[in-house]
Amino acid sequence: MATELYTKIEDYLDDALDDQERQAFEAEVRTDPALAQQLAVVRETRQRLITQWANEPAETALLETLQKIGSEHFKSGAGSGQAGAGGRLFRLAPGWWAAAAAVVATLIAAWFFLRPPSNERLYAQYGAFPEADFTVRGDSPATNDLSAAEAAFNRKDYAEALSLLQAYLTGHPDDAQARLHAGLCHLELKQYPDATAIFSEIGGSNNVWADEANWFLALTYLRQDKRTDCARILKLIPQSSGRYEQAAELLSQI
Amino acid sequence: MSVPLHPDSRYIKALLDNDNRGISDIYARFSARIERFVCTNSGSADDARDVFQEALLAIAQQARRPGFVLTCPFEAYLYLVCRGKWFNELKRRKRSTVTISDTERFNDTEQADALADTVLVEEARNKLFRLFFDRLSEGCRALLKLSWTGLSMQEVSDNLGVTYGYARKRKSECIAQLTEWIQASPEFSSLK
Repeated sequence: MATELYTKIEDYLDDALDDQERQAFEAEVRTDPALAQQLAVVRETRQRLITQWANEPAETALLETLQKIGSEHFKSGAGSGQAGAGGRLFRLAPGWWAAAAAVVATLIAAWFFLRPPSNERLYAQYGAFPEADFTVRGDSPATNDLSAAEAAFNRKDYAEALSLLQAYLTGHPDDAQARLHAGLCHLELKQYPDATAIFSEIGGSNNVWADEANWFLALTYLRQDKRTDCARILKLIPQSSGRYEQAAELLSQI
Repeated sequence: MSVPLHPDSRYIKALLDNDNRGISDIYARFSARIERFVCTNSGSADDARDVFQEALLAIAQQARRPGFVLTCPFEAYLYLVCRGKWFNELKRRKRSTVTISDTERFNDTEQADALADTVLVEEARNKLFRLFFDRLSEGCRALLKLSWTGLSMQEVSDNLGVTYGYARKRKSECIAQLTEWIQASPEFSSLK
């Protein structure tokens, strides 16, 4: 279905059509089942997401209460399988020493493989960059730099992308999306102070890119083995953010 | 004629008000039975705690909807929601036929059954829509969220630093992508 149709559906749901347009649209919906279906899906999508966003603060508060009270009422399985009477010594028969040694060796091997992951391993696991999606924003000479930067970024030529983004940003210093991607280039090029400065500035603002900037600021710290700072920043990412689950997961691993 | 409030509506109110004392009362009265049910059906006390917590969250989510009225005993309702959740979890873990042994019996569960079914379907459907929304690019998510939480398209375009025309076009593309994913999902038709 053509994207223009979704613009019409949105205008209808936003009550932005005049009377004549609205009546014509409603007549079309009555005679076109496919359009009626799309209208119903967009309406349901909007309603469900808007309700979820509105309820998030109350749900987060309730979840905290339930976690606190729940731990007092359910018996945790942690105590199961404990030894009975304590303090009794026992001897191993000679043949068992080899088995015991094998167990110890297995435990050491398990520790080796299950030990906390290194910073770079975690960074490789979580540091996937989103694809640059600047697209064209009107016609200007800077558009060429931006388009070229997008292409360079998506083919992982971060030095080239950074150079083009910096040229673009001289004329558009307030473009947070472009600055965020410049920060990503710095991060990938291991220019940590520059990356930190950019992500901190965007992350501390009310900009829509703030959560994304905080996520990559945390990864910048992670890569430098600054785990305390990394954890501090991860905790700033709210539950409403698309990065929340990853942030919580990473937090549990550092 | 309005439906009379069930006396157990106090438990719903406790959840909606995030009232510590009321919620502690819910745990004190009902948690042991749910723990017995889960442990009888291949689960642990930790599983029971999670199921109980998730059921209360789902019930609160449902109760926030305008017009929600509790028309049955809370215990039967809670038990059936926990039962449905644990059944789904067992299916997820074993990926085969799952049978459940009930540890509680309730009389006249028609209304509780209907309410519990609605809770489970609505929660799953909400998760489905959210899952696909979260798969959109960061730019799409920001644009749709700003637009759908009350900003005009002019304000959205100003906020994102893009032209008005671009924002409108991009929004349509994002919605087209999102609704295509949602409708292509088998759960979209089955969860009703």
